[in-house]
Amino acid sequence: MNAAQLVLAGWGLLICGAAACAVVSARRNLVGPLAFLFVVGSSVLVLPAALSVLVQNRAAETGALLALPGVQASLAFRVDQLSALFLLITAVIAPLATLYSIPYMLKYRNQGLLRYYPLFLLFFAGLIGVVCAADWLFFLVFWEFMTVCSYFLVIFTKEDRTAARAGLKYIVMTHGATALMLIAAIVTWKTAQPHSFSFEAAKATMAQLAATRPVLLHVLLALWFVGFATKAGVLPLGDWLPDAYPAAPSGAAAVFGGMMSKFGIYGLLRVFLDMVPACEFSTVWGIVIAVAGASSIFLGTLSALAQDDSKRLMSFHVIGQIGYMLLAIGAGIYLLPVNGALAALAIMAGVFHLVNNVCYKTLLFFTAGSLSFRAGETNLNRLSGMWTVMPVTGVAALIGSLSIAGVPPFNGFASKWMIYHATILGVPGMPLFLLLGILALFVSLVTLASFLKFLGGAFMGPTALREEEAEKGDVPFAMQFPQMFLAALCIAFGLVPMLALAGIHRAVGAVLPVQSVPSLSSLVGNSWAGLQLSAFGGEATGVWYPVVVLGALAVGMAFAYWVFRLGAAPRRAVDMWQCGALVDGALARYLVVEPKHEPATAQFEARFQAHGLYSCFKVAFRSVYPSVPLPHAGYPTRFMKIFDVDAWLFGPLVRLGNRLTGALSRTHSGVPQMYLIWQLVGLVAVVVLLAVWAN
Amino acid sequence: MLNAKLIETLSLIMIITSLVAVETHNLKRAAAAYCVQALLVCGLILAFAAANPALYTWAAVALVTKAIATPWLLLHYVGKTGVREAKAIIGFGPSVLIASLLLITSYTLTHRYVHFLAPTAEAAQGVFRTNLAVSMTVFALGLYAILSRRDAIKTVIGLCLLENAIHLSLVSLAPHMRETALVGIATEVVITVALLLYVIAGIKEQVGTTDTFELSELHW
Amino acid sequence: MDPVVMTLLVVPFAGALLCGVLSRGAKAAAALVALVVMALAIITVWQAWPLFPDGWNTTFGQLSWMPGGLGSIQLFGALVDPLSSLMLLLVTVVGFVVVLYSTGYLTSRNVEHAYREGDNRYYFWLLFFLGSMVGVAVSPNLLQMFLFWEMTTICSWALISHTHTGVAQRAGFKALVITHIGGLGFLVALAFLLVFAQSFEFTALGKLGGGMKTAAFLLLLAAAWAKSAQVPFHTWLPDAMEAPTPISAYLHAAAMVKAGVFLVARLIQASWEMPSLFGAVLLAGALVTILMAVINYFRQDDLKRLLAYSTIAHLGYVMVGCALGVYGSWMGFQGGVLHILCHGVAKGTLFLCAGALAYGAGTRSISKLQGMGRRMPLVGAAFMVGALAVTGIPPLATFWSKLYIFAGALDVRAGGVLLAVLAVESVVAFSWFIYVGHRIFLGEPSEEAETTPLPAAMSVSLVIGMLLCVLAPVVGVPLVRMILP
Repeated sequence: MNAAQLVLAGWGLLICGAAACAVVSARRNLVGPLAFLFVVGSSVLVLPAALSVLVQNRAAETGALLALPGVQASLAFRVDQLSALFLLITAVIAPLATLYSIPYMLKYRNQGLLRYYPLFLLFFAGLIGVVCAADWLFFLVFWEFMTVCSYFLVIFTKEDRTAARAGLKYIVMTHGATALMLIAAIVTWKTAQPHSFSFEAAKATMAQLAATRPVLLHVLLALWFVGFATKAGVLPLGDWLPDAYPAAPSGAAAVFGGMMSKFGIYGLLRVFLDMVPACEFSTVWGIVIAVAGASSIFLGTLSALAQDDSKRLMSFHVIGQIGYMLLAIGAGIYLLPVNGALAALAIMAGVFHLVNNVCYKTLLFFTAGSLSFRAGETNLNRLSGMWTVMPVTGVAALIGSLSIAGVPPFNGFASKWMIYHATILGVPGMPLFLLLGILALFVSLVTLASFLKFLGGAFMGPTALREEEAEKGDVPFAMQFPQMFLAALCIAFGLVPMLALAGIHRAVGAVLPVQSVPSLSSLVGNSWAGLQLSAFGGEATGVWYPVVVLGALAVGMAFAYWVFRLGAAPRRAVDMWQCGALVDGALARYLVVEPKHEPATAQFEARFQAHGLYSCFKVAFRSVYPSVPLPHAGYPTRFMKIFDVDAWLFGPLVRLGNRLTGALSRTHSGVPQMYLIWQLVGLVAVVVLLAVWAN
Repeated sequence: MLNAKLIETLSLIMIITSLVAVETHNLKRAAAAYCVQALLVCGLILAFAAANPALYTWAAVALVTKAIATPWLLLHYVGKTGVREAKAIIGFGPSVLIASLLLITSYTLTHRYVHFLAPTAEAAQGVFRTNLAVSMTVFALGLYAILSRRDAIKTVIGLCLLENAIHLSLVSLAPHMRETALVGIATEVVITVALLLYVIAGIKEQVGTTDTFELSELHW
Repeated sequence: MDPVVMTLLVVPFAGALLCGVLSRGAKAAAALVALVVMALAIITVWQAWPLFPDGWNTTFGQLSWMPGGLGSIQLFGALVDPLSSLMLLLVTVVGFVVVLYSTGYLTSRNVEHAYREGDNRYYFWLLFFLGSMVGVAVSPNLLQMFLFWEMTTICSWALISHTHTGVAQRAGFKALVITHIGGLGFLVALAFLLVFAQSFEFTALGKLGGGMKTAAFLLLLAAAWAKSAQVPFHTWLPDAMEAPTPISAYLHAAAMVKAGVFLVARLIQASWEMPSLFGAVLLAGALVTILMAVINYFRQDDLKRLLAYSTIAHLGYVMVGCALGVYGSWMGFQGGVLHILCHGVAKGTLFLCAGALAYGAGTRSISKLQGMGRRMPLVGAAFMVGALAVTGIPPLATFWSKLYIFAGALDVRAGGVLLAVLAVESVVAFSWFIYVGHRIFLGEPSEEAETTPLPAAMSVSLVIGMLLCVLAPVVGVPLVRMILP
């Protein structure tokens, strides 16, 4: 049994699992664990298969399971190294998300679980299908299938109008994007001789088009780009994302924000690395992708700063983080014809950021969900002081926030550092990437700021929960475990980046359109303790040894603490004072008086208001991301009248007919003499006719 | 041989009586006029019988059916339904005019286009030709009566006139055939007239009038 | 195989008579007859499958008084080839589902319209129609097709005006007049063929001279357009929604309106010299129809009228496929034919959902229905599946037919433009359907959401409909691939 067949088996298991969950969905306590079992079973099959592909560095495929006659497309599973990487991600995240959902979904008392678990499992099956498809047609089939399943999960809460609107926007925009991609696929199919949808044929076609019809190739690439960028969430195509992800239940939202958006990146890698040869197209599109990425970074992260809803904040950060990946990948694609090693490095940085992002983004969505689970609230203005109630979640959230902000020694730092390295060092003659890299660097600060908002608003300060709620303590273990696991992964990838980079190197190397793929050691060194980047294939241009740094920091902190204890300054409680006036100690430090938000009580409630942190930014940047309302179209009335055939054609005809027949019917007077006269007239007419005809 | 003078006189009187039968408002008088006209028809047949002995039988039968049975039926049913006729469409004056026109037309046609109209050479000559013209006139009068008289019984009278005219034309169109008499007897419409009058009596009971213009319930 | 096909043709009519005279149990009899017909059709197709693509041909009658050599050939018979089996399967399977659905729908518990009497005539006409459509599907020449064609016209009239309200009667009459005018065109074309070509075969049009050929083709096209509600004969279909919903699902989505496009498909499949002018006329008519229909989507408040306009647009799609066939793109033609099947099952399912909503809540108005998802989850699921199936979401039904049509579109000149137009229409229709689905099923329940529960017959039919939406291409694609010129 080769790896692809194992993956197929795992896929099949998910389909069966969906059916099984559909059958038992009435038993709310049973369906969650059942779904989890199926997902774990599927991961058990998929994980080793993906690992084996990466380890052996060789693609695996099943034969054609279903051939579509005439269009030369067939359903077959093909696992190459890039697919294997994404399969690994899916295989790890899927069970975690399902485990997380088990207690979470029990809170939705009014909603049946029939619309959640089966669709959740089908969604995972769709993800597997997307990365394992061997030709473009079935890729798009699975792509759309995945989108539709996720759409149903977004509109899970039936009564919520905003969720419905968000879901509508989501499915319409992504369906439009898929339609564009389908057009591109069909045009590619048509151009291939013989007509075929397979990846190999598409590759050959694109190489041919690069030489003969460059405009058409640009059009096709634009269509592919738009399609994948919509799914990835690049603004303005990703307008749907901040509305849709918060609407889904947290287990699903985590998978969407953590995984599904990254599959847009997978698509871009597939098209722009695997399909397109390294030539001037790469140059152009590399710039396009990088600029799109940079704009996502800027717009996404800054808009996130203004958000008060924790899940919406996370969703905007999905957009922002996607931007980082796109920036790196775009830089890499640009560099493909120029400097293979730097290109490889840049792309690896982007993919490494992707893997890290999966870890911490999913983690952050989980924590936001946990907050909502415990406190029933996602608004950061109303959450407060959850640290005391849920310390474990708090620690996980802290780790996740620091990772996403790129604070060493967590994984976010490692990948961001590689990205800056690749873009800033870049190509001397092209200052664009330098500019973009510096922009990314600065926006990183904004990321940190917004996550301080998140942490501070949700976890710090006095708790706002009622006593009996606080008694319950942290979230159930089924929800804690995924968080802790992912936090551990963040730390692991941060301390030992080589863990991920080895696999990523294999994955990227498989699709890189260069003559020879630079070896891992030549790019990032070969030490497990850290990274030694060499962009130009010789000297090391950047060095990062997290363990060493961590050790040094630990030593330094221990020393500082010893000094502090040695100093043993006395402590005493003092009233807080501010600018010469004593302030009531109950007031929190960051105080914002917004009377309209507060109840009109005499007792002023001390709250750690999240929006108080960045109110000036809010005002300035709210306009950065305006929401475009759907256009309301009407038709000019005269135009519509043309299509109302009844009014101007059939109606008058019928009335005319009625008048004529009415006139004729008056001969039917009922009087016998009239009929006799008619007979006579007829008789005479016939005689005359006969006479004439005889002659 | 045939007495042309007699035949012509009888014919003229017959036309006048036909006109009277058509025109008069009193149905009893109309029936009487018809009776006279029928007698004249019998007379004419007798007159022509000189050329064709078989016609004697016919004259006898015609006397019974046309001159006795039919008027009796008419009078019987007129008694049931009422004497007064419903108002006609076309009045007396125009009727006379039309009758004269018809007469003139028929004579002209028979005398000018006789070769077109007459089936045998013999029918084209002399008294037969006159007979043809007269029968055409009476036929037209009968048709005119059917079409322009509102009263149902008047239309029956018109039908009888029609019948008489056709029989008369038979005489001139087939003057020497023995079968002429047979055909003449066979095409007698006494039974038809009886049925018609029976129906009209029934209509009078149901609808209350014999005016055909009122009988349009069945139209679309 | 002879007896099977004969039985297939005879059973529906016999069943119709039976249902017409039964005093009780007409429903059960009708369902049984429809089941038997479906089984017979499946057996027929199965047995004929090895003989495809030539198909299996049987004859059973001639008209010896026909002039010009036609008296000696067998005029009546049955032809079972891939195209007719596709139509046959569509008609009988959807027919069975609709009859089953009707047994639950036409009762006095129906909130929209309580059906208290008229079962006999309903099932009589419905089974009569089933038989006529089977006849249309297996007709080997234009004459026999015309006979059954006109039968379907009369059944449509009877079924639309079933409730005998003034509005329904007017709607039925309008449908009758418009489709019959088309039928007259068909008749005149048949007369042309009889006199000038001495043949009623599908290839007979090729034997006519230039102007005559164009005239005959235009007449047949007018018949097809009238039957399939294409511009300018489309106005009867939205008004025909006065019919009971199972009838709308069957006649006006799956069967009768498909007869028109089936005729065009038959003409194209028969190999005769078709000038590209014909293709241009087909294409132009189809595009105008699609445009008109899509524009009218947004003004509809009545759910069934929306579905009617959607049907008109999708029939335009089939015509586009046929036009592509004339231009030489056989793949486009196959896509168009496949669309007959796929659209039929998907739209049928949607109509059955609309009926279920009307049955339970008493209204078809989109603005009045809200939050129905809570009370009628099965209907919500079926509506979503149907909407996704009809707008072309893989792996459901019409994705595959649209794929073939799109692929075929590139074979013609300016195919890219055509492709873009069709893709835009597809996305717009999809968006609107999802929007309507949201309005009806999501949100807080409105007052109309107090519903009566659905009978089992209707629920089972909805489930079967959903399954058909998934399974139709599995049968359809292999069948369609065997349709060769």
